Parts: sequence; C-alpha cells; structure tokens
Amino acid sequence: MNTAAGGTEPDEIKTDGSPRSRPVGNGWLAGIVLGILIGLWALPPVRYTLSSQFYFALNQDSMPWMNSLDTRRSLTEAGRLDAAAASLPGDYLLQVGRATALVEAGGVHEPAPGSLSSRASDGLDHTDRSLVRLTLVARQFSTAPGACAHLARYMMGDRVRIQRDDEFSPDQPPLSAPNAPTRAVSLPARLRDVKLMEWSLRAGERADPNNAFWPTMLATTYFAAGRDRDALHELLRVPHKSRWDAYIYEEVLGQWRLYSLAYGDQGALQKIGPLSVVAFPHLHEIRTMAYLARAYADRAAALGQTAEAVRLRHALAYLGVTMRDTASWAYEALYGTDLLLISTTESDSTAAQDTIRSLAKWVDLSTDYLRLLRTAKLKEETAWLYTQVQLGIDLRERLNSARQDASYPGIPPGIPLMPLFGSWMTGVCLVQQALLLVLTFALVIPGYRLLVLQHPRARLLRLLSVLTVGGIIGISGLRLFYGVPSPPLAVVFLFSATLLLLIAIHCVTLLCWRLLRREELSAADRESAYRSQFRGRWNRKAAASMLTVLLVPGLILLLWLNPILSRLHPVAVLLTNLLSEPLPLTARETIPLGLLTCMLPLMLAAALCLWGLRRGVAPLAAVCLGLRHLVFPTLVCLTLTYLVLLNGTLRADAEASRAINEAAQNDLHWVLTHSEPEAPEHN
Amino acid sequence: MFDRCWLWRRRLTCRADGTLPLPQWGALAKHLLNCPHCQKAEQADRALRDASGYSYSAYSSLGGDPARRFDDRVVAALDLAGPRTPRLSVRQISLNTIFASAFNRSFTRGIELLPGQKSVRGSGLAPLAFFTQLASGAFAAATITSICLLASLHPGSAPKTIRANVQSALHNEPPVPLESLLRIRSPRAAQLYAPPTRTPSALLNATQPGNAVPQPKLPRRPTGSFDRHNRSDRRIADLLG
Repeated sequence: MNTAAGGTEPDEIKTDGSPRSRPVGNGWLAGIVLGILIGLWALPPVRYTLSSQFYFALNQDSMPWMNSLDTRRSLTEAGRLDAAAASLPGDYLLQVGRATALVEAGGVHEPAPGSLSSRASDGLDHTDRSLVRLTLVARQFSTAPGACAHLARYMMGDRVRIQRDDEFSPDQPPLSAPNAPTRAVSLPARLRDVKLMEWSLRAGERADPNNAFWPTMLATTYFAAGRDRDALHELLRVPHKSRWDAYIYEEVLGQWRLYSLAYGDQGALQKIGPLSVVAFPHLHEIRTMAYLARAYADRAAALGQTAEAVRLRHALAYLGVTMRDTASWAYEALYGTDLLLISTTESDSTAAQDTIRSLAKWVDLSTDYLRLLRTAKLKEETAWLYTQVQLGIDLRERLNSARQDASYPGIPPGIPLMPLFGSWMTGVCLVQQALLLVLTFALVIPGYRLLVLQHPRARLLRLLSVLTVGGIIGISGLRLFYGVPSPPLAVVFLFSATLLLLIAIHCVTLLCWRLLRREELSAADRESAYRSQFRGRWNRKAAASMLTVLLVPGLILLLWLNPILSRLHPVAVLLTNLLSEPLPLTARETIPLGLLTCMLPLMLAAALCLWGLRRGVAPLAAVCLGLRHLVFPTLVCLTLTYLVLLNGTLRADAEASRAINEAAQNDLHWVLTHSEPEAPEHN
Repeated sequence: MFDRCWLWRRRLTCRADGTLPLPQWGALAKHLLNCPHCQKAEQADRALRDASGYSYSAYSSLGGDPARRFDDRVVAALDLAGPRTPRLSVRQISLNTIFASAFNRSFTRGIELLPGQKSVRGSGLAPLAFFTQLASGAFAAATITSICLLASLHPGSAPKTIRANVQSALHNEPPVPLESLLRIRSPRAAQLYAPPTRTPSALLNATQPGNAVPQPKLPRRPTGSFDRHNRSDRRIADLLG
C-alpha cells in the first residue's frame, strides 16, 4: 500500500494506517433526493406547487399563471385561456370566466398607449372584445340571468355612462339656486348600447324577477341615454323587489375554473387574484343616477308635488337598504349605505354626505326632507328612515373598522395568506439553494482540474480564468450599481466576488507556506499533494460538523426571515402594487435578495476555506474537495427540509383556500365575522 | 518532503511490478545512470527483492501468489464498497457486469467525481451497487413522501374558528379613507383594503379632493375610438342577429 504522499491509497485508510470512516453511500443519498422528487411529482396538487416554485426559483417572471393576473403580461396568456375555454364550450361558468378574465387586461392599471396590453392584435380594444364575448355568452346561455348581469355591468364600465352637464347633474347647483348656469352639453349613451342594455336587463329580469339589480341598472341606462322619464319610472319599480344580486360570484368562480383548467390547480394563490381584482363598474354610475333622481325629487318638491318627491326618495332609500342588507359584497353594501344617505340628504349637502358618522349629523343634513315628511304626515317613513340610517352608519363604521384588520393589502380580513406566502417563499429559497449548490458543484469540477492542471500553459490559463472572473465582477457590479439591478445580477456578482476572494486567499496562503516551510509544490505532484492533505484531515465527523454548523443556523435564519420572505411572494407583490406602479429595486435591496438566494453555497465555500486554513489544507483545494464530499449530504438535508416545509405549505394553502371560498360566497358576511369591532372609547 | 525524483521512483516501482510501459524503460535507465539517489534506491529495492526471493519475471507473469493477492484485494475492495450488497453468483456477476458495462462508460467519469467511488473504472460492479442504492433509496423516499403529503393534502383538522382568525388578524396601516372609495369610477374589491400610500393618483384624478361629488366629465374619446366602437358594435349586432 502506498503512502499518503503518493495519493493513491483508498479513501477508507487514513494516512496513519488506522481504518477510516467510509462516507455514506452516495447512491443512497442520490436515491433519497430522487425519490422525494418523484414522490412530489406523483401528486398533481403538489406537482403544481413544486413546478411553480421551481420556475420562480429560476426566473421570477416565468410563472404563466401569474401573468394572467399581471396587467403588463396578461395578453400573452390570452391564447392559452382561449384554448382552455374552447375545450369546454358548454360550461357556462368557464365561458363567463374567460369573458371577464382579461377585462382591462386583468388589473386596475391603465395600460400605456400603444403597449401590448392596450390593444389586441386585431386592433380592437380588449374591453370591447370582452363585451363581444359577454354578448356571446348572454346569447348562448339566455336562461342564465347571470350572463345578462355580467354584460350589463361591463357595458356600464365604458359605454353606458352618465355623462351629463345639465341642471340635474350632480356637480351643478340645485335648480332653485340663484345664478344657475345655462344648460351645457351632455352626451347621451349610444342607441345601440342602450338597446343592448335593455335587451340584457329585460332578459335577466324575466329569469330573476325579484332582483332589484335590473330596474336599477335600467334606470341608470336611461339616465345615461337622456331618457329621464323612463329612468324615474324604472327607479320607482325598485321597491317591488326584495333583493340585490349582481352575480359577481359567478365571475369569480368562472375565473377560478378557467385558471385551474389552463394552468392546473395552484390553490389559494391562484384564487386570491380573481377575488381581489373583481370589478364593480356599475356602482359609480348607480351613485350618479341617485344624485340625478334626488335632483328630480327636489324639483318635484319645489313644484309642490310632495307625493312624487317622497316616492322618488323612498325608492332610492329602499334601493340603498336592499343593497346594504342583501348584497353579498362589502363594496356593494357600502354603496348601499351611501345611496340611503343620498336619498335623504339635501342636494346642496353632497359635500358633507360622505362624512356622516352620526345620526345627529344626518339630521342636520336632512332638515328639508324630514320637514317634508312631517308635512306629509309620514311618521312611519320618518321612523323607518331613522332606523335605517342608524343601521347604515353602524355598518359603515363596522366596515371601516374591519378594513383595518385586512390580512394583506387588498385582501379581506381573516384570510391566512401571510403564513402561506412565507412558507411558499421559504420553499423557493430552499429550491434556489439546492439549484445553486448543484451549479456550484458543476463548476467545481473544471475549477479543480484547472487548479491541478499539469500543462506548460497552465499558469497562463489560470491567469486568464482570474481575469475572466474579475471581468464578470466588473460588468455585473457596474450593471448592479449603475444600471438596472436585479437579484440574478446580484447573485452573479456575489458568486464571482467570493470566487476571486477565495483565489486571493489561496495564493496568499501558498505564498506564506512557501516562505515559512521553504517548500515548493511542483506541478507534477500538486494533485496528489492536495489530495493527501485533504484526505489526511477530512472525516465523517468533520462533514457532520460542517453540515450542522451551516444548515441549522441557516434554517433558523430562514424561519426568522419568514415575514420578510412572505412580502417577496409574487402574489404579495402583485397585491401590494395593485393600486400603484411597482417601484424598481435598488442595488441596496437586490444585494440582500441575492445573498438570500445563494446563501448556502457561499457559506459552504467560506466554511471549507476556513477549515482548510485551520487544518493546513490549501484553501481552494479544501473548497473543491470538500464540496465534492458535502454536496449529496447537503442536498439530502435540503430536500428533507423542503418536504417538511411543503407539508406546512399545503396545509396553509388548504386553509387559505377554504377561507377564500367562504369569502367569495358572501364577502360582506365574511368581513363582518372575521374582524374585530372597534372598541368603544371610554372618556 | 517532496522529492523531485518522486516520479522516477514510481516508475522504478512499476518496473519492479512489471507494469512499466516498454518505451519508458529507456528513459528510466538513462535517469538511473545520472542520478545517484535513484541508483541507491534501486539497489536497495533489488536487495530487498533478492532477500525475499522474487524476481522481475515472477512479478511480470502475474502468476501464483501475486495473482491471488490481486484477487484478494478486489474482494476486499468489494466488501468495503458495500456491506449491504447481496453476494452474487459467478453467473449473476457476469450478467450484471455485461449490463452494467453499458452504463459504465457513460457514468464512470461522473461517479468518479464523487468521494469513495475511485474503484469504479473497469470493474462494472460499483455502478451496479450505486444504481441499486439509488433505486432503493428512491423507492423508500418516494413512498414516505407520498404518505406524508397525502396526509397534508387531506387534512382532517377542523377549520379554525372565527375567533382564532380574528386574533390572527393584524391591525395594519389605516386604509384609504372610506369617502374616497365611493368616488372611484370603477372600483375593485381590493381597493377596500388598500393602504392610502398605495392609492394611485390616477384613481383619485377622477375625483377631486375636497369635493365629495363625482365630477362627470364630458367625453373625451381618443382618436379612432369611434371606429373601434363601431367595429365592435357590428360584431355585437351580428351576434344578436
């Protein structure tokens, strides 16, 4: 048997001749990693989560199901959504989901003029295409009242709007006011649009006769068309209806089904988008209609037609109460309380009507109408109004308080998304560590060969390598600090900087050894010398210590950073930036993100370098050979940790999914039951 | 510590073992003529071999004891490589060797990069052990993973109570004032829970702060919107018949 210096002894024999601990079979370790991955891939819900995390770990913009929720990239997904919808043409909810999925390109941002999102390939505005789809759905499923409601709601978003500038316009002073301006120009809605609205709303009312949605929308349409008499007639039909339903839940359900069919079931993360960005384009127009109706009531009162004035205001108040009490969305209920206040307050008090927080203030702003009711001896109506206004004020305060308990910006309270985001992102972090570890291991092989290369031009090649690394540092650093910083760029910068630092430490160490020991490694025996140095000092205990020292604090750090990681989740970023343009990252922000991504490989290299310096092993050789020994045990540890973490992610996902389902069924009820009422102030 | 003649000493040992390639014999002889240290080493080796009764021819023929010693080393290496490896018959080893040799060429270089796999090249047995371990580990891990995840995918725990959810809710940054929510032209559900810092100026432009009444604006349709609307009108009209 050869000596240690010869470097040809088997790994199992120490240099001092004593039997040496044999490394655990790499086949077992590789099998464990492979088996866990196969096990994860075998279950479809887990597969979708794993693939999403994998894609996100590789490229943060590579998750297709996120693109459909993002304004800037949603149109690229139109083809896939079309294909999914075309696969089941008879599925009503699916067709509704497709028709409403990319309205306004999926978000609330106005796309930039000329951008991809602003216009489809055929030149049609995307909203118009959605209206065409909705018309098609309404025609195909003519017995479904929801189809008519969706068409009417989205028609009101762009085409049927109250655009008036006459004496009944809300921003005009009341008719009785002195110095009233002359009549200005109004733009009525197009006749074709009005006909389409009439058709859909009448068809919807035939299928669902007790819904106040239809006459209210008809009244709004007629006001938009300048047919005020018809509008008032429709408004007076509202008190004969018993409930309010705009069928918005169907839209949410349809989008869930569509995304699930197109991208696979991604659980709560996929559901929260449609729930958050659901639009209420009809509410603003209904509110404007209420102002106009109140102006007509004032006009009737001024002309002495008390009964007509009271009927109009009562119809409006009844509409508000119906919306407040029977609508399933908190936003609609909020508008219901507002309609009630509009119906009872004076025309010249509109500036203050939004801020009514007490019955006393309401009484101050409703003096004329209350006097009118007293004149007409309608005590029951007055008492009813007092009760309803108090209930409306209470609901407003309750909703205002509930908004403080939002589980995330843009998310109703009580939906446990933060743990899900945190757990998901920790999983991504582990995947990134594993991928970069494998990449580092793949780079170590040529690196080590270069280090021990016996070639006449080996020195030149090493010099070129160092220069290349230096060049990469320079370019990535310039782009990072003076260009557009991004986390992948930060990873490249950190990796190359660490490599250059290791090379410097290696050279300095060899120089010191040469000076102190007066020894020089010849090119011929460099490999065997490195091997013998490493094998003489490396054992299972060293490997276990290294793994423990690196992995345990690293995992604790990841758990500690969980709240911060949760904010980096793509859905969280989307929700946070839902109402504003996302801010670009700075270099100071990207470097910690990059560090978080490549933490384990860098720490492993640093630890092996320190170990080599302490044990008298050349630093670069210690890093290369140590990585070769540690890569599989580390991967196994990471995979097992990921498995444990994925269990938590799946549980959090199931819980959040359940919460989102309940919230979508009755948003108002969910909000009221999952938030704490504000504690009364004790003076 | 590091002898410059170390390479020649190895060649000297190889020549004694009979494994030195013939073209290198001349170079070695030439070096021996010039290097007194190697000459001494060679003489010492020769004296040791003479005392033990071996000769170059006996080594080079690989017959008798050296051959048996070689077999012993192979068996010892196999034992060390995997105690759990089942003992195979000669025929099984031959078949496995044939099948493994197909993988051997492609995987040998990769496996050699891993620690403890130095003896892979040429034997054909170590890859088999490696793949056996791989398959066994994968099967066990996949089974355990599936069992663990099935439990998570169908959690039997009851949903959290409302109270627990309320307690978990955080009192966040105050959201957008309620009044401003009522002035947004096309509100979204998310805006009800959005903090004010995230409210875009664009959304509030439609409303004028300080004036609670929405400001209905006269239409300012962009150029070409009429054509666009007319085209869409035609499509809708066609659909409706």
